[in-house]
This record gives sequence, C-alpha cells and structure tokens, in this order.
Amino acid sequence: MSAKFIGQFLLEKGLITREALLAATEQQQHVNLTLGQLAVAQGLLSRAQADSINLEQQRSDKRFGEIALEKNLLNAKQLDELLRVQKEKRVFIGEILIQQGHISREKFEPELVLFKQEQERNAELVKVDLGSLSQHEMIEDFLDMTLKILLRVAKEQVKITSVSSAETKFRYTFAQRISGDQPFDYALALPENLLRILCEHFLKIKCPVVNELVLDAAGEVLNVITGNGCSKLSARGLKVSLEPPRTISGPVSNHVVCVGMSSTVADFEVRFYL
Amino acid sequence: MSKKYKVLVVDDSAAMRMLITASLQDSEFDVAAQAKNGEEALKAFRDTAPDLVLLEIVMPGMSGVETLEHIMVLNKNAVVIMASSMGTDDAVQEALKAGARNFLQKPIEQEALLKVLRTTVSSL
Repeated sequence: MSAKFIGQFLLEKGLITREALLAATEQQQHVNLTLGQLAVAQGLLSRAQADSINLEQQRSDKRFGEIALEKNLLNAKQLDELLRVQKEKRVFIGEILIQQGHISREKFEPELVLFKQEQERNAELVKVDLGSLSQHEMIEDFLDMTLKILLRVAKEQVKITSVSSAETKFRYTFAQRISGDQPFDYALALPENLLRILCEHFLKIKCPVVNELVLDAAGEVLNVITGNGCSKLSARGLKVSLEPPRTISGPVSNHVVCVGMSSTVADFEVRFYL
Repeated sequence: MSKKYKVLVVDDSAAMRMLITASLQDSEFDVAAQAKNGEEALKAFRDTAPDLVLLEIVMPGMSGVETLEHIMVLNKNAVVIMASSMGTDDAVQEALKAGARNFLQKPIEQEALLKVLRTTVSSL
C-alpha cells in the first residue's frame, strides 16, 4: 500500500465506507477556515483586501501570508498569530470521522500511527528516487506546479507517492511538448472519475460524461500546469517554448519517468518523456 | 446605457472560450465573436471590428503572436490583450513588442479578466 491520505488509508483497509469519507470531507471543508477567512473574521483585513490577495495568489507562486506582508496589509506578528490560530483550530479528518461515529477512537489511533510511519517511509523513498534523476530540478519544478495548479484549479490536495520507469495504465492521457534547451513531453494520465471532477471545477458546470468539452478542458488544465512550469524554467535562465496539448494513447518515448500521485478522489500519474 | 465593448475571443480551447464568455456575461464587455485559430480570428476581426481582442499565444498553426502581427497590419490601432499560461519575460516581451496592450496569465479568473479589460479600455 502506498502513502495516501488518512481517509483513503482507512477506506482501503475497509475501516470506513466511501459515504462516510465523503461526509467527513465535506464537513472538514466547511469548518476549516483559510487564512483569508480568518483574517476577515478577526477584523485584520476587509473582504476586498482578502479577495485581492487571493486574486494575486492565483497569478503567482506565493502564499497568502507572503503577499499580505508584501502589500503591508498584515505585519509579521499578525501573520504569526493568524497561523497559530489556524493551526490550533484546524480539525483533522480523523477527528470528524470519530465525531460522526464512522470509527471509534480506539480503532482510529493505532491506524493513524501506522499511516504516519508508512508516509514517512514513502516520502523518504520518493525524495531519494527524485534526487537520483538526471533532470531532477526540472522534474521537481513541474511536480511542484502540478500540485499547486491542481489545488488551485480543482481544489484537489495531491501527494506524490512513487517514482518509477513503468507506466501504470489509465483511461485518459494528455501530453504537451516543451521545446527549448531541455526538450521533453509532460503527460498527465488519469482515470475517468478524476478527469470529470477536475473538469467540473475548471468549467464550473456538471460533467456527467466525458465528451469533447471535458477532453478540451483537461488539455487546458495541462496547459496551465506546463505554462506555469515553463515560467519557472525560464526564471532559471532556460529557453523554453510550449506546443499545444494533445491526447495520447501510447508512450511518447522509451525514456520515461512516471511519478505516481494520489488525490482524495483517485490515483493518477504524471509522466516525463525525456 | 453605458457603452458595451465588443470583444473577439481567440483560443484553440473550446473550454477556455466558454469560460471567458461566461465570465464576461453581465459586464460591459460583449463577446461579439469567437475563433479557434489564427485564420478564423483574422476573418472575425474583419467581420466584427471588435473593440478588444483577447488572444491566446500557444495555438496550433498560426501562433498568437503571428496572428497579432496580422491583426496589427489590418488595424494598427487594434487593442489586443494576449493570454497564456506561460508568463515568461520573453513571452510577455514578444507580445508587447508585436503590439499587444496587455498580458493575462492563465489560469484566468473572472475578477482578473475584468480588471485587465477595464484597465486596458480606460487607457484608450
């Protein structure tokens, strides 16, 4: 079993049901406040100021607190206090599952210890595997951007779970060629349920089936990831240019780095054809 | 009634064209035409004479910058805003040099889109 989210970990072990996990996740989104919401609630920022920081966050690579400090909307002491309160008030999924009666505390606590041990082991393995790759800086830049854009666009928390040279089969694969000093293809391979959820968030409409529009929207999400990844490479002095995204049905080249990813919805894969 | 600005949206992604059109609904900007590539964009530009063009840089066939250059030949005062997920200095510089008035980095959120369009028209 690879490191995932605690909810998925419990689900895979048959200790909770899918319905229980969905209900708890929904509740968690409702009770945990963002830094902006907290700052508004405490009267440190107006809603308009928080919105303007959120807006800037969508276009940059910075955290909410970083932007607030830069704009002199919060001072370091206020930010530290907000972060402390946010951390203190944060309700974890396990606590909600217990409160909602989906699992007992006695059953949950030893599972949490096992989950954390597995996560630590896996994070160490992934770090070593990524660090040993020949183009690891570029790959790490693109992985970082993948996590950020999926959180921003699809509201999906994603974790890296594995690194290998063997592709896992997924129903849909979208690829995009990055030309320039270090040419390569970046690909996103994912199952249908994750594809639909991704596109529902991106298009802000229901996507009950995978149609041309959904495929097109997924290509656009890919384009946003690679475009922002290219901006990072460019900032490091590399010449880069992008070609339009496309769907693929087989390997682009033999030299591939496959990075396993896990979201709260499903597993998927990011591939680098070098 | 305040002036409605006619906008031509050029993007090879139907999803993006749909999102941009939805984002401009109920605003002072009216999507007069959409185009999925450079050739369609030039025809729509001639047919609709838009006040503003929102143009994606990365497109199959004629690129956004090439399309921009053709548009500037048709009307040297055309108001074109380039959009791209790649906000590199080179990409922005190339677009501005070719005559673009502004630059929007994807993902495009409604508020950011309206802000850039309003800033651009207020400077005309």
